[in-house]
Amino acid sequence: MRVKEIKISEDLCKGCYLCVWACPREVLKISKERNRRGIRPPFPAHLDKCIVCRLCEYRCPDFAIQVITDEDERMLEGIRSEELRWYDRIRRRDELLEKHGVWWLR
Amino acid sequence: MVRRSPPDFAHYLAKKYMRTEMLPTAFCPGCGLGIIERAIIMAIDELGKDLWERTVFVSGIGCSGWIPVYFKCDVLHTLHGRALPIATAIKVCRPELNVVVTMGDGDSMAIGGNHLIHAARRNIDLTVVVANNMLYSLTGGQVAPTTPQNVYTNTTPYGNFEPNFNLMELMKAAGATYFARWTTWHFVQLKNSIKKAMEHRGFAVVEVVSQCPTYAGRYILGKPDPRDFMEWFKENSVPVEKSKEMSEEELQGKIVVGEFFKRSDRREFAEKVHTLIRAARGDSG
Repeated sequence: MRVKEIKISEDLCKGCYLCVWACPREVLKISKERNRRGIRPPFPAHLDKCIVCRLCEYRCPDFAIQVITDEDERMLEGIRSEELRWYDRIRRRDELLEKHGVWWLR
Repeated sequence: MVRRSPPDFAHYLAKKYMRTEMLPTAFCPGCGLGIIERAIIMAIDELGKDLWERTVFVSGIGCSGWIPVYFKCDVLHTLHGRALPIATAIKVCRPELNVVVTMGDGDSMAIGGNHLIHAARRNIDLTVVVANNMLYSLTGGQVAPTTPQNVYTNTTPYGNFEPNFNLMELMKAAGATYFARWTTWHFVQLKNSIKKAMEHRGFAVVEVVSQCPTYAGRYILGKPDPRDFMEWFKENSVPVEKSKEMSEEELQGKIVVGEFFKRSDRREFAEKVHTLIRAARGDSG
């Protein structure tokens, strides 16, 4: 199993660096610049060293990091439609609330 | 603030089982509750998605009350310490549901200690995940019944002189039928234990010693960094088989982890209730 990419979310990462601590091969490093949320997120500095042990995923409390292999990419495609359906539901709920109002605010 | 578009990226388990519009979570950076969330999700993911459809999460008050709030699932956020009576009611009314209770140490052992003992006495089929971070973290690091001895907290400036609870002994005496204790460092074992607890018919308790870098890190460990906490768990946890050969002095300050007991000799409460109802109605089945 070969790693293709290590994705780290900018919206979710809080910068606890448990993933950096957990990695046995020192793949991840802390970046120098802060992002728009004021956090210095980790980034995969040595991607070729990764052995897909997924310890960084297990230690991350914020669901912000994922090691992506070829199989994972196919699975992510399948989940993508599910996620869009979920956000469709939220949009429909918002439209309904805007149309009818909220009964306890009337 | 609830967002109206998906985050730029999230782990696939979060996309599948969590309300990603509410992420990032309300927890502090490096909090162990996120790891417990992932363990619960992975355990149900491995047992099959149809189990997720008939799972109800019940939580109390405290930081741990926030664990199931992010799940795309039926969630009850109840009064402080009263998660177990409500979970008991759900289980008795609908025995086919899989009821998971997530509680903190204050919720389960301090204010809700009575309910915990009596739920264990009845041996009702619940899965209780107790996140034990060794003090009251939501309110600012006060001393809790689970705080280790001789530890400085916000309210014990001369060191804690009270002995702390051992949940394992309490549950064994009260009559629970499954007990496991892990730390957040033992992720895979924790996930397997939660899986076993969900499959087990009877009162199953999984105690998770979790890190609170903000208060427990500052007061108990002296280092407010989750990485130091993980190192501490790694060095100070003793497997239960190994702890039997060790003396009392050697076990001082250590966390004994492992699966402590699993009993199958006690009958389940909801089953008893429904047998009694059928007998009282005069049904032969």
